Amino acid sequence: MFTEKIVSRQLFYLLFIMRVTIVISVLPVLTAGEALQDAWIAGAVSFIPSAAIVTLIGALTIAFPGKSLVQYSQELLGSIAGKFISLIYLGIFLFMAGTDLRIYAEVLKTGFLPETPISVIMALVVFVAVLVIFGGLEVLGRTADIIFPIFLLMILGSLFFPLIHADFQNIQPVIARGWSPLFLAIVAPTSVTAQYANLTMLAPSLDEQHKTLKVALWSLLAATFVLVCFAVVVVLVLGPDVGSRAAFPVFKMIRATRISEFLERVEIITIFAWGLGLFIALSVNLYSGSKGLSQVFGLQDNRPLILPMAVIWVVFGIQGYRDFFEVAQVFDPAFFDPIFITALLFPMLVLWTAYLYKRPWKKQPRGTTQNKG
Amino acid sequence: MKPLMRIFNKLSFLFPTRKKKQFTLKNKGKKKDHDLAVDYRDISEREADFQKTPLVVNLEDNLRTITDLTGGSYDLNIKRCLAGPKEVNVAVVFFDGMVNKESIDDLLRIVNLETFKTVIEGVHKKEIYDTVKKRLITTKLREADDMENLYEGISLGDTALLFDGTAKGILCETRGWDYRAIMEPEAETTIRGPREGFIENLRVNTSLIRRRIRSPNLWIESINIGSLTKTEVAYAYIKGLAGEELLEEVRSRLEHIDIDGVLESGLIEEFIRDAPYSLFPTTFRTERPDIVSAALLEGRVAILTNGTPFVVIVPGDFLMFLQAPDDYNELFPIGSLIRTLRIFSFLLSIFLPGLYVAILNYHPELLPTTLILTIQATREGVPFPVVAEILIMELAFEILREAGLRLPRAIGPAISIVGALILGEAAIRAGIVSPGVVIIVAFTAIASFSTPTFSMAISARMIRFLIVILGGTFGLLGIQLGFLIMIIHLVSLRSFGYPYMAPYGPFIWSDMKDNIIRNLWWKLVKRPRLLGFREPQRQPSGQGPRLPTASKGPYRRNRKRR
Repeated sequence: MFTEKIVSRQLFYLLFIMRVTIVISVLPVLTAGEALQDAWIAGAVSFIPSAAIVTLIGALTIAFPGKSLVQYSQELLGSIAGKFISLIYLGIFLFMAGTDLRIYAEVLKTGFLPETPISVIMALVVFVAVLVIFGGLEVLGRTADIIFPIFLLMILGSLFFPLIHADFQNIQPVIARGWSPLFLAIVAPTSVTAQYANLTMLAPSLDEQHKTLKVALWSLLAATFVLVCFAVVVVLVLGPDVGSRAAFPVFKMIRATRISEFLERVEIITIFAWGLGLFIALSVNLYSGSKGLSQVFGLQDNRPLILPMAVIWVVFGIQGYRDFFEVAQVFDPAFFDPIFITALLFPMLVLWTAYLYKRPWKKQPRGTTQNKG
Repeated sequence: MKPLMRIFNKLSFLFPTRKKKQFTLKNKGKKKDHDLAVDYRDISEREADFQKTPLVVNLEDNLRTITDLTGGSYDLNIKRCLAGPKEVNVAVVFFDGMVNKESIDDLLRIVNLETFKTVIEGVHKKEIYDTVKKRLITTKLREADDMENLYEGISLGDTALLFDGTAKGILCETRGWDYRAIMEPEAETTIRGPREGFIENLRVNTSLIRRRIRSPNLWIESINIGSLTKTEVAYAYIKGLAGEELLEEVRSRLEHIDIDGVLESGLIEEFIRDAPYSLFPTTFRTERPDIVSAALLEGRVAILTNGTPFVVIVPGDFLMFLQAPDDYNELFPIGSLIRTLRIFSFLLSIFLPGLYVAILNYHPELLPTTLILTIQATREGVPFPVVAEILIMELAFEILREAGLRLPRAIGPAISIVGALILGEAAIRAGIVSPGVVIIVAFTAIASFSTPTFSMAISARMIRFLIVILGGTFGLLGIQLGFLIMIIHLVSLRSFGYPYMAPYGPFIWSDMKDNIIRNLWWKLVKRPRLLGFREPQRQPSGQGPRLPTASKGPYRRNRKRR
């Protein structure tokens, strides 16, 4: 059978774009209010716990080459318990994708298409993701290849254009209030690492699977760098107070940019980059979700599950949140961390326990043991 | 039921129908040899007749069969003569206009001479065939022992020699017919580059390639396609450079074509395309031998069809359609810049009208205030919404273009005056369309003309309308989605197993030197990775110009002197 493969470069692109998209969309809560002008330090420091979580997620996939989380959890925990754990784990894809979708749709609705029903916007965006996943993972990888340079250019543009309004007084004093607010601010960016849950579903299709973790960590590092840049620019341009309170500060910052008389309203490039990134994030989540579900139920192909899953997402995106403000606060640790712990940390810890308990690496091939005896 | 049917049948005299001549089935088996006009056998049967009729010993019988089967066609020539001292009957069969008359005269002279020389041995009917076959050294010879082979030969311009007493014929190559002179193709002109273009004759076309690539490893294979036209289709490649899987694929796809006639390579293109419903062309076609040679050197395969100057190159990739020979023939920075410009204008030709509609309808705040005020002021009193305006003008332009294409050259300028000046000017004056829309449509048209290949330009034309509708319904979101769908479609395309969007999706770093940007030719050490994988190294590296240190002339560079 023809197996679809992606290469490490494409995996890097996918993970990087997903993470940066989240940074653009929900930066304020990411480096939350407590840190104020030191948000960028919090962002930088968050790399350490994030990397730990990514290692937690990624290291097991290397131990089980060619198998996704759904498959090796059944191997570790037995069929029923494994499936149960996988189902909990798959919930995170639904949650992340639905939330991403809703945020983007809300921004579009308020900023650009005030009269279009939000369900139409969401359905349209999901439709494209459905198309690419019907094409398969290989098509998604190649799409990421093409989108990545465009995305990067736009990100750079939305970083540099606002710099004209930068005020370097805003960023001082550095760490004036001690380290404690910083540690609180680290929690949110760390828990958004839940996106890397996709790693366990993508890794089996990677052509050099032993590199999975390396690629994931590099993408995390690159994305953290972008996060720090954005945090710095936002604080420089908007100041610590506005920067930490506005709903979408990146957006607000770029909207305020005005270079001479002609170059204004450059936020369109940010929105466009966000749209591209959201498309990638949705597709990857859709792939992981449908693939995982098809493996839980032992289906040959994940394609029959794609369309129903997409519909469920739209419904979840609309029904999951009461209004715009609830969505905007979704990555607030108080709201998000319980989900993060149940859907990601808990299954991972169970699997790690089982793994360490079973010690499959100590199992020697039968031939050798018999020879010894 | 049966009795009922019988009654109906008997009643049928009440409804007399006009008696048809029964062409089918009943008469099919019968041969009515004397009168050709009442020969009701259908085309497939007639073709089958050719296949199963062998040549016989008696010359007169053979000649009669030929005249019967070809209906004694006007251009069929049969010349009889006597050869050898025993005066054996010999006939020469050929089609007038397809052969070189002089070579036929030569042929007959040789036949006569040789048969007289061999007075002692080869005088009998049977031996004369072998003698002639041995001694005819002037032309390429083939043997034919049935009508099909014989006819295949003479329909290509060969001459058939038939001898009394031998159930075989000799086909001598005497081809010589008139063809168009080699000229510069009008649709693909370059500032700098060879001025030769392919013509309709396959032989001349292969020679144009052969003259450029003199390697013995330029292999040209041919097959006949078309049950009636039997068109010669040749495919050229460089053995050892083109992938064997690719060759196998091309071969099998060509062999699977089963149609009655091939009049243009477009037909073949449609049969061998990968995604037949895609709007994008996945096979490249050109009239220029230099482009074909360059493609062969990259490891591609060229498919040449007799009767058309258009050569199909497979596999095609997207960027190939946006490149022109000038990029290589001029300085490399201008080559790179022009390529970038071309890609930009290609994107413009797809997205510009859609963007205009989307921004004006949904996001007017994106434009600077003065600009939007100017545009809105000119739209004052225009009765249509922007989408309708754009669609009408695009449609008008497409009609204009099509009309201009079909017109004779002499009245071509008339259409541009009537269309562009009178129609456009009057429409604006009358307030039916706004000047902004005319500007956009005109600029889009100009942008679309900068696409070097027509086949890619027309796919942009089709997609443009979809984008306008998307932009009109969903604004910039719609355009973004259209862009994404286009990319998804493009990366999922394959041409003969090769990814269509390579070197961008999948991204191949080593191919970046000759893509949107063209580097210096001596720096392009590697062949394209997916195509020329069998021998990645094109040329040794480090061939850049050097200072003439070794020369001993007056300009010798003396390094020691300060």
